[in-house]
Amino acid sequence: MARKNRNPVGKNVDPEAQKKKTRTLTLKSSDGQEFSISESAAVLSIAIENMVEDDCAGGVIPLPLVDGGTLARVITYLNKHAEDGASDEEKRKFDEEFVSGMEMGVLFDVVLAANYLDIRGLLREVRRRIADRMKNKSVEWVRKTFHIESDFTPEEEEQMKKEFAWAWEGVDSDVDD
Amino acid sequence: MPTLPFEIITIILLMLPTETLVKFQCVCRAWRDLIRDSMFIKEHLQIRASKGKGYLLYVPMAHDTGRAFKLLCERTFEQVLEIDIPFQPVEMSLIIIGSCNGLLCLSDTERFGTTIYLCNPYIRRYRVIDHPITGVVGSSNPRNDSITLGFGYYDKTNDYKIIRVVAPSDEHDDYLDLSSEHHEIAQNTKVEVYSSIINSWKNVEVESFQWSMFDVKSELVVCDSIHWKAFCRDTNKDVLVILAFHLGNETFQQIKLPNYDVDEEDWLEYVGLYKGNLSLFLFHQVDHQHPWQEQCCYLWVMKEYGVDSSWTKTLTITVDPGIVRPLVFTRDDEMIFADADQDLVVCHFDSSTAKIVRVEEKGYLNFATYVDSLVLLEG
Repeated sequence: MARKNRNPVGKNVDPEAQKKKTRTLTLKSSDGQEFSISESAAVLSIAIENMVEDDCAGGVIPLPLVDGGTLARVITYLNKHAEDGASDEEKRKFDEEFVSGMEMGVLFDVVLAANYLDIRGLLREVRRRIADRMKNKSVEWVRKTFHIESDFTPEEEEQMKKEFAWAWEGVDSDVDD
Repeated sequence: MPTLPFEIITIILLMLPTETLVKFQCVCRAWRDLIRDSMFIKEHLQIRASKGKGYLLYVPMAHDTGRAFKLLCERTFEQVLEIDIPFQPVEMSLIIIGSCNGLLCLSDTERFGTTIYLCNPYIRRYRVIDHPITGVVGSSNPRNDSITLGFGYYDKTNDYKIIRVVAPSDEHDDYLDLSSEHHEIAQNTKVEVYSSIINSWKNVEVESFQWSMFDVKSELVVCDSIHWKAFCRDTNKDVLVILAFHLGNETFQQIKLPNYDVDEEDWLEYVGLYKGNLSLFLFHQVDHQHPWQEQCCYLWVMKEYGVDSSWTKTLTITVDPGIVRPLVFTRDDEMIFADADQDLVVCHFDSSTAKIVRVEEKGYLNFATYVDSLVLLEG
């Protein structure tokens, strides 16, 4: 499959790129909400780009794995990154602010959506943010947040905690999200 | 809260600091097994390395109280971390044989080359290496055997190897003619290799070992080979060369030195790594009458590995104060050496500038570059 030039701020006036800017697509979330988005923004998602190329364009693109709230967030991200004249620095600042206010649950929803829609930049940004939040957290916080049941015996766990006691120094309280 | 697929969790965990991952082994068995997996550890190390955060590490001498590994920031040279030695070393100075991917190979002055440790101080893991197979066959006094060690990582098999060369002492009571003595030493030199994967030693067959080791240790790996200075025995005279041991096929190869001593003599040679190339640093022993006298030093670089004709005199550096002992080449194209006052001096090659670094201890310090990693976590 031929990959088209995905650079939205190409200097040359490419008629195909112009068309993409004016053409709009409709994305439909799992809970039935519909969102309009320019094709040039939508195809920053490689999954959507593939669907468009496979000729689903014109109609509505159903995204049964993404709920409306998450899709709205993803569209905000795509629009910013497709914006004409937005500098790399501006986008970097936008990315920073975009994820900074999100609660852990929202970050999880967005990372799943970005993974499903294959939006590399967003995926990277959200993964990094999740990792940053985990750094100083306790094992209990991680289990709760990731829905993990410990499958160690209490003796095994005690033994590991003793063996690596130094790594437990400086753990934050779990209050934050 | 949704549940994330394991492949996304894996990528997120790869971004976490070493100490956080050590703690998160306790989350569940799946996480523990992932964090201890050798491919995960390797990938984590590559990500850490790409961020360029490194340390310089040293171990104070035996008589210092509260002996611990000291870690300095590689840029500012400020001490950022102190880690207790996780095992009980003998009351002798520890010697760093090499440092690679967070793993240190250590020995001590008392039983150099016989007591050997692998240690990842950052995660407080260590392994006492079993005794090597043998000393020299028929050695009259094993304590006089000369032992040379090398430590390096072989990427293709993800293996950390220790090389141990033992030669019988060449002091003899009876006078022997040089060639027959050489013959005897060549016949009796033993080469052994330890592999971290199998956690044991094996003999390396060398038909006739024609070198006499000059360096007693090395961690200098270029093109999968570890390098020491050595004398190649010749019937007429001994010639200084660089001896390379390939960590994969476990054979020796000799690299000729450039023709640097045409004008002057008495050069001291230090073999290091400059911008990824095998390099030879030449300096003069400090003049004790005038220890502060400026010195002119040269850096020769082997532009194409293994090609003797590619040695190029690349830099001429004036250092002040004079060099007593080079300690380590850093990752930032710097060399750290001890001056006549036993202070440490950092000499930056490209800008040809030198500055003195203050550390708490002075004297015979062992320096190594260091990065934190999970290597050896699996036990």
